[in-house]
Amino acid sequence: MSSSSSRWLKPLLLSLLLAGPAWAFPWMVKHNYGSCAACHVDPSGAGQLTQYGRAQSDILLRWHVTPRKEDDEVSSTAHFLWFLELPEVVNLSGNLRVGGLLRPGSTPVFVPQIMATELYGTVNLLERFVFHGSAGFGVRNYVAPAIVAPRCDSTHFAPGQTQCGPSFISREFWVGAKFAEEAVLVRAGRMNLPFGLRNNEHYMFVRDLTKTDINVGQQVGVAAAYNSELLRGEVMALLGNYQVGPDAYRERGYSLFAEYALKPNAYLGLSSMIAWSQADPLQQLPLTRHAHGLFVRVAPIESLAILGELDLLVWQQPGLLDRLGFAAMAQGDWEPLQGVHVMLTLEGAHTGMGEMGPRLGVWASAAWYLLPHVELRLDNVLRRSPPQNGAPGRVDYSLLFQLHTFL
Amino acid sequence: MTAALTRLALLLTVVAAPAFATATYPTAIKTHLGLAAEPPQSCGVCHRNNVLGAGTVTTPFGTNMRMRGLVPNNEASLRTALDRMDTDMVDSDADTVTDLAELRAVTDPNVAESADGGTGGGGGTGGGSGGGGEVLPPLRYGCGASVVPGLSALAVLLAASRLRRRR
Repeated sequence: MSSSSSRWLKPLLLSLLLAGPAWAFPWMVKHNYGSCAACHVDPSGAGQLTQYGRAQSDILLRWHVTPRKEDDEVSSTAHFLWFLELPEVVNLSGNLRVGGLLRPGSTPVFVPQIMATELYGTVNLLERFVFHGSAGFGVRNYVAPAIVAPRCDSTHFAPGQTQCGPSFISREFWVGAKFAEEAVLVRAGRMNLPFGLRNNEHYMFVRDLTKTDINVGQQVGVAAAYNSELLRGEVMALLGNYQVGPDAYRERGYSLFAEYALKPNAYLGLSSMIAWSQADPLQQLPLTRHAHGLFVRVAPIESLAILGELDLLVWQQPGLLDRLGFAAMAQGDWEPLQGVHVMLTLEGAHTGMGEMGPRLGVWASAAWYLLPHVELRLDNVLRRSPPQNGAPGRVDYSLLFQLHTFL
Repeated sequence: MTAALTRLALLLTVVAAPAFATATYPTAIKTHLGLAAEPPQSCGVCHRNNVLGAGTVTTPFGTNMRMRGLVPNNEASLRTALDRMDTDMVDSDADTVTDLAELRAVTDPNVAESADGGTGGGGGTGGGSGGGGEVLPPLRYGCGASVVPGLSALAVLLAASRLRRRR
């Protein structure tokens, strides 16, 4: 195996290890990686790594027992399945994330979690064309919008159940073509929506209320992404999620973001989305969703990344302003040792649905990328829900732990 | 910067429009339609099972009212929606008696005449479905859940292009 290939594969494996149900690390800004396209198959970040991304993952993200030297070879364990070097035309990987959710005071108190079991495949042809897809297994309603089969709706639930059963899922499948020396990638298919920070914690208010969570937020559409040293962005025409039906529930519209590098360690971005459907699932009425906002990524020192996002939300009936709201988050990600992260996140939101004040949340998290392809993560989440429509407010605590392995 | 963000967040919190049930609407319906009394279902004529709050206007009658401009805390929107229901001759329960005729006859516009024990007739304007009584099937997950118009059209185009190539 060539040393250059080895460099690609190691990081790929590592990044798979780090990944969430789908993975993305906006805090890579601390390593002066503002753009996502070099390391991820998706030019706007998250999900499968490129071979270069595998290498960088092994070099920059993984915990090393003894500090890595500049001229050290990338470990061969960065390859697919820890050992298999693939030709450049084919990029394979996989993602397994399991864990448990502890919720004191709730029933049941402990909920085991299978968060991701997926395989990813990408084929690169003629240095221009890209074919990408993912396939996996999902349980219950966590992944319902990504279900391929079997069909699931309220008439197919098991007696006494309100959940879909085990399902075959696919989050992404798209074809793309690169132009302008790979600065531009035009894609068509099912993909993540370009909007805001592509963080992997879920469900955070900013991702949940804008429906851009990379766990289930993908839609079919056509997108064009641009990446350069100072500017990156993507615009997508939304054609709907064709894994839900009937058609009246599918959204059409656009979603976009653009991010500018103010400095090598400071980025400012804006996002915008308007999505219209003939019927929203709750009220079955025509609904237009707006989300428009700003986000920042700053690394004041090498071991610390600060991320922030603020989105204005509007829900509109035909010709009528129905509700106004917002979603916001701020996160500090401190990496005292390479591969060891301690994170504090504050979030807030209002949906305009009669809450007597904003929803608030605090996340205290830690992640340890302890072995090649293996990550351990712990999230303490405290959330306050305000009184709403006569119901009293409440405070909920949950502890989420995860073991993540990638192929 | 922090202060500005805080102010913006507070402003958004304040302006976020609450969408409570509007307690005065049953009385406003009575007044606008010249009824002898408020609808016996009270809030339940719009709120399924009388569950109040945002997102609970889900009865067929309530849904049709919202589709005709009804918004919370705005009696003018209620009057406009009622007038449009009248013009459109909406029959939410498809029992051939229009919703407004049912309100005047003190029957439930969400329950078909034979089922809700009404007196029948109720003004006798029936016949108009109003096109608003349809209830969408529930959200379904998985491929094959429904016909996909866009993809069907694409398949037709591809087939047509193959035919052309063969010629």
